[in-house]
Amino acid sequence: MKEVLMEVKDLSYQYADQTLALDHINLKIHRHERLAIMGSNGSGKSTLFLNLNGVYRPTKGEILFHNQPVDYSRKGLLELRRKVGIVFQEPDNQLFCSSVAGEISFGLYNLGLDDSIIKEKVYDVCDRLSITPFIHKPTHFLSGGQKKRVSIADILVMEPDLLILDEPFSALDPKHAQMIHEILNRLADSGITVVIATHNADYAYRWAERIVILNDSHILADDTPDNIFYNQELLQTSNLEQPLIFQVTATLKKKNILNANAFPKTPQELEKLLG
Amino acid sequence: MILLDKLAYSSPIRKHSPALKSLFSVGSLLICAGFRQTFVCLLILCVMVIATLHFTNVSFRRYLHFMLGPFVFLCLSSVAILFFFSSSPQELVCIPLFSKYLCISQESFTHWYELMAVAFSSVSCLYFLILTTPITDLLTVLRRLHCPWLLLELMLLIYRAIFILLDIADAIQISQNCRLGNRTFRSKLSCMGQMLSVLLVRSLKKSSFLYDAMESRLYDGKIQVLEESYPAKPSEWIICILWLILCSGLCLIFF
Repeated sequence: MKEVLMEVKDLSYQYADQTLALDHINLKIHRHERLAIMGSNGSGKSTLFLNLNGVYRPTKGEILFHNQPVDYSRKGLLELRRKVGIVFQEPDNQLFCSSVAGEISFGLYNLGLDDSIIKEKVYDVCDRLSITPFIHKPTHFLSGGQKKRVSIADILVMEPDLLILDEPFSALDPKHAQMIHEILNRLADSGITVVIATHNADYAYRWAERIVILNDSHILADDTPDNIFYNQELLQTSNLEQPLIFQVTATLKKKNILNANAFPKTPQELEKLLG
Repeated sequence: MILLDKLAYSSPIRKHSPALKSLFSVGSLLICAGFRQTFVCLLILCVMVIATLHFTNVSFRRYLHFMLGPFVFLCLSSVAILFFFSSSPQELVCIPLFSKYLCISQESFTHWYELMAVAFSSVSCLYFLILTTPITDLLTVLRRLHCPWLLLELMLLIYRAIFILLDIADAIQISQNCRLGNRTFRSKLSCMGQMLSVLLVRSLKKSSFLYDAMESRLYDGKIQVLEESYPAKPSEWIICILWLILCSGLCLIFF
């Protein structure tokens, strides 16, 4: 049995204008698991994330982190937000400082670390995410892909246990998307639990070990990628599409070209199976 | 705005001490405005123009272009100082106008060119500063001078927000032009109005997003970030101070 890192129990969240954004959500996030959260726009993904790191406080229900209920005191929140980091979808909504190094150091200063340690950590994370070549450029002259990497570095520098990325691939060209993909793989391998929210079924199918579908403030499904994408009815209600590779494999299986138990996740794997 | 910023970032002396550059520029400016000695002002103007052209990637043509804005403004606003109404044509230059005369006297002319010299030399000092020093570096200097936190944080956020809003405004304008907006004077007015209202709504939304993002990075009411420091050599400080002493000395001699 995998260790539970974060548990959401019967969580509801209502905005000040009475919109019910989350309705009785139950969710367990295990340590070292690759979890993708899918759902159409406005299904409550972003609200869920902001609840997970204590920026929003649940209207009902509770959140357990490391089996402890979240402590909403100043100190407790500091600890929670350090351990649960969110990379927001739109880098321009996250980057507020006009120098890259300044931007990345913001969280560390809030932790109250020493200047020398902060400098070391900032330069280290820039090295890991290949930010060093443009570290002295102002934020407003960076390209979309560069901004995205800086926004990941922002969070990564605080060494979180759980890293949540909201639509990490939106508006990125294939080269930068590949770069982010490699970064995510490296992070997951290094022991950080990575959760991504995405509409991209192809990517979720390839990357995730488990998929949670959020629809209209509810959790509609919580299962392995294969089971999720096999369920046509579920996909229809949640406005999702089958991954391309899944459709191709299904056709091949129907024509008896491929073994019914084979589930290739990438074109390369499919090629191997076909021999 | 974006052009000035780009030039500042590409200046060959961008990575020199912002404190030194500020002292050189603001010190000279204070001497211009404080002593109002025309000769010294002209000297400072020449030195600043040469320094700016030498230490930035700005061509002389572009520099003149930058100066054009303040020049037009100064000319328009100094008309009232240069000319005055008189009943008799006994001054330096007099233009009859109805029953009176519009005149320039020796005194008003002197006053006018002294004012122009002070104004232009001050503008050239500031151009030197903003064309060689990015705003983030200036903030470091202000922080060392114990400028209140609140002001510094506002400057930091506003400076970043300007670029985000400019991007949005640009995108909106392009989308309006694509749909044949901005063609007549009337439609220009309405497009402008719509753009401004959208900008307001967007900036409110952006600010609430930004606040959430900062909260989730442990924001507790005080923004502190890593600043780069570029120490200056003692010889550079000495040259700068000697220059300021020379200027003030000249002012006192001519006084």
